[in-house]
Amino acid sequence: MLLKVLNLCTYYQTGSSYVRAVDDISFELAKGETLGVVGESGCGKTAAALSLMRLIPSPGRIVSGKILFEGKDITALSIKELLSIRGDQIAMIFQDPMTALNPVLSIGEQLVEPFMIHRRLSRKVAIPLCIELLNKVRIPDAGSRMKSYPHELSGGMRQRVMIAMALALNPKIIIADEPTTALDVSIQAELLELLKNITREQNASLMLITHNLGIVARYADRVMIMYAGRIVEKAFTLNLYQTPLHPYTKGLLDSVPRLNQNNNKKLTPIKGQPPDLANLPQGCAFYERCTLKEARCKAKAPTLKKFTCDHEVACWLKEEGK
Amino acid sequence: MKSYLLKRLLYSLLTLWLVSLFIFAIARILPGDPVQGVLMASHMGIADNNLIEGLRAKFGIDQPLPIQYLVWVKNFIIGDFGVSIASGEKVFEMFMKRLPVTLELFMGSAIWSMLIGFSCGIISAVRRNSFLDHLLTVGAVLGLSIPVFWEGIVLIYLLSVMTHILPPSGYVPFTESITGNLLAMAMPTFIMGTQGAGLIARYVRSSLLSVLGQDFIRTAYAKGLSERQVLIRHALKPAMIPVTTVAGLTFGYVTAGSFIVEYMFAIPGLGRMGVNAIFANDFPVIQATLFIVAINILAVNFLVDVLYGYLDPRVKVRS
Amino acid sequence: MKNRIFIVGLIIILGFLAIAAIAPQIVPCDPEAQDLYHVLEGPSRQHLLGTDDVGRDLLSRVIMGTRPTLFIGVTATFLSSVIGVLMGLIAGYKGGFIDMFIMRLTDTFMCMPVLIVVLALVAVLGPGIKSVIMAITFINWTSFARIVRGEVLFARELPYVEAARAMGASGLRIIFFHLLPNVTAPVIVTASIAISGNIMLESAVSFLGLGAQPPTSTWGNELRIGYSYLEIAPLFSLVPGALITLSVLAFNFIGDGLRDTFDPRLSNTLLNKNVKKSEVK
Repeated sequence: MLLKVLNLCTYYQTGSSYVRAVDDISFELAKGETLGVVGESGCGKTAAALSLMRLIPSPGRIVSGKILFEGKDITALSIKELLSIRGDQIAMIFQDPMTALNPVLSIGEQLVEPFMIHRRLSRKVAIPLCIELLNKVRIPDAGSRMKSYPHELSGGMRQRVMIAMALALNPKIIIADEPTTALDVSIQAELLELLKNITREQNASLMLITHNLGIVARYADRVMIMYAGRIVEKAFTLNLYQTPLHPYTKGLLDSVPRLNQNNNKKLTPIKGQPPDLANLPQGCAFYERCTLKEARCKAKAPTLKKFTCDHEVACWLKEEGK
Repeated sequence: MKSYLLKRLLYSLLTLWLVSLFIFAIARILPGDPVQGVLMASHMGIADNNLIEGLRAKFGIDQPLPIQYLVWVKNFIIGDFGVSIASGEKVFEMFMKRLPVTLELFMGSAIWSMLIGFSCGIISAVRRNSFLDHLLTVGAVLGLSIPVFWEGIVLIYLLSVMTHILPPSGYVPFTESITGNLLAMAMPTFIMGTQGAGLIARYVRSSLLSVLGQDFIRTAYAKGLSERQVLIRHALKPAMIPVTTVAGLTFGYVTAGSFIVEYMFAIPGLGRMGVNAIFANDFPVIQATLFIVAINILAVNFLVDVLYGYLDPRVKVRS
Repeated sequence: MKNRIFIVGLIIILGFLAIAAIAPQIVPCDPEAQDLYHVLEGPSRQHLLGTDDVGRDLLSRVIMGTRPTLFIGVTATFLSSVIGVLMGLIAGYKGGFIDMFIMRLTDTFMCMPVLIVVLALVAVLGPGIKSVIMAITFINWTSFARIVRGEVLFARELPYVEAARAMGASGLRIIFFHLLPNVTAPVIVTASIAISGNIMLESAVSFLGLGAQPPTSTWGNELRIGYSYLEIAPLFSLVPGALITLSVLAFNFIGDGLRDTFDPRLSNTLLNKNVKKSEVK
């Protein structure tokens, strides 16, 4: 297994209280696989992704758990070892290409960095490689674009640059945090296709974080659904869509329109708000919004259990394998 | 970019014109007839009407005010700053004689205030909320709050009266003795740069902090850059852009400091010339001093605009 | 951290104000009583800080000096804030030529060496407390005008102000009822920082001998005379200077604290200005 996350907890400490952004999650990522991570904003998916590279900003920190990348525990690496993994073995694509690129450095300046830092190449040698990269992500006129500044490019172009930057050194894992959320719908599909093709070509694993179930259905091999810092359901994409087990997953699927569905079926949004992560109530975090809640749900939080051999869910109602 | 700079330049020139009107006015309403001053000094206050008329003509104050203004501006442009009432010297020559002294002070204090200001600000921002950060932050406010003259007195007391390390005042020309010059200039330079250092440290800190919180810093870390590399390659340049704008303010502080410091330490520079001119109601000298300072502040601000456009690629697009 | 600093500043200033209020009651000796047999003496039981060049009790002089020093700093700031706020309101609300004129005027004032202008004005008006206040006010209103104008330009476009205008409110009514409340916070912050600058300016003028005239004791005056006797009686100049520094520092602390609590936007006034400048789209 390329990446194995075990009981990862990432908390933000504010005064004396903790915000449990990531609360005891475990998952795996195989070589060449695409894993979709789905959840509402604030459910901890970005914090989980940042934890993988130990990029959690203060006052947050990884409290416990292990992140085994090729057998090495990332949480226990020295800074030097960590730096040699970031950007080389594991790369990240951020949500907003507007702010994720340095506004006062040219595209070229930012693109050559991975080559210079990790491969110790000179700028001169790196520049043609960068131009090649820009061609690969289909940026027209790549040579002259190297001298452009981020504000001179459109949003879509900027995100292509981000993708090129992440893919520069053929990383083994690419984490894409809502890579198309900030872009026009028309460009989204094109960019995702591009990302998918290149990762496949390089046989890299992709962790695709999104709140868009449609994107996950199309691009991910496996999906995990997060709610309030925890994983509530984990399955192969097809299984999850055909037989969603957790009430939250069902709710998510019922709240998005689907073309292949009976038009008469009403969309039902999930009522209520996600709980405050600093003040999680006792029991299941989804209790307040759940339509199927029972007394035992309030008493104790369910843990992730295998329902079938490759479908896991954290819900008391599914505990007995009904 | 060009039209942006052109606009700034036009504004500066307009301001300069208003400054000239203001300075002209202020010097004309100063009390005491300058002619009377000269008479007191050279003729024991006894004079006949012819002498008075002659002197009035010599200073050009027998003309109507608008004419006086135009003549003054014209002369100023060709480098004729008039003649000092107190000493009879040409103001331009007085100015040139004192310029190198003040220039040395300015350069010295600019260098040290930037050195201290930048390093303290950067350390504060990088180690934010540490004990060192709190210490440096309080230090910066202290630097901004210590009046120049009191800092002077304390340092003179500590370094001259008590320990005799540095001379309490006086000036040694560079050509005469290099060490003597440096010893004499050490305290004044340090004092003149203190406020600037505090100001720069505060701005560098807050600017760098806001940059370090931006998304692109996280991107840089995700690429595998070390903290030092992120700071040098990604954070410093965008953080320095807004800091350039305090250069004008710092220059103002240093200028104000120079008047008192040169007066305290008996350094024959432009600041001392200006203060003495005030005491003597020497209006040509006052005018020249005010005007030169104003031109310099305007020039510094204009240079800041140019530098800004050069540092920040986003400005070019705007215009 | 900022809060603690604010409270320290506040305590210092309240202490100074209390001392100023009851100064004549707490002075240990008559601050004007000369004793030519005991000049420039060091600290003793009778004179805790020693005596000045004509044998007056330094501690009493310094305590009395609290009054004019704070009075000048506060009054000059108050007057300049009134003028500056009015100018800023007019410039921001009226716009056009008036705005242009007032703003160029502030530009003009801002590129002048403050100290020399104040000295020159004091020379024109004749040395004394009144002249110093007038001179400082004359040069100091511009920073208030600039900040108020910026706030008004921002507030003018707010929906509730537009609504008031649509309902036919008069210009004066809009200025005083709708725009003025918006600018109080930044004006208070600017004022507390301006007080520290003005105390420093007043002391500098006094130090050069053009401030309040004898026998009035201000810290700057004590400092000037004491400076000549630095070798014999160091406390004579060190103590008043320390008090000036302490009060300037305290007002700066208060200003910093207020800025952080009142309006985080202001803490980067210069930065914000430039963000706007460089906004591309």
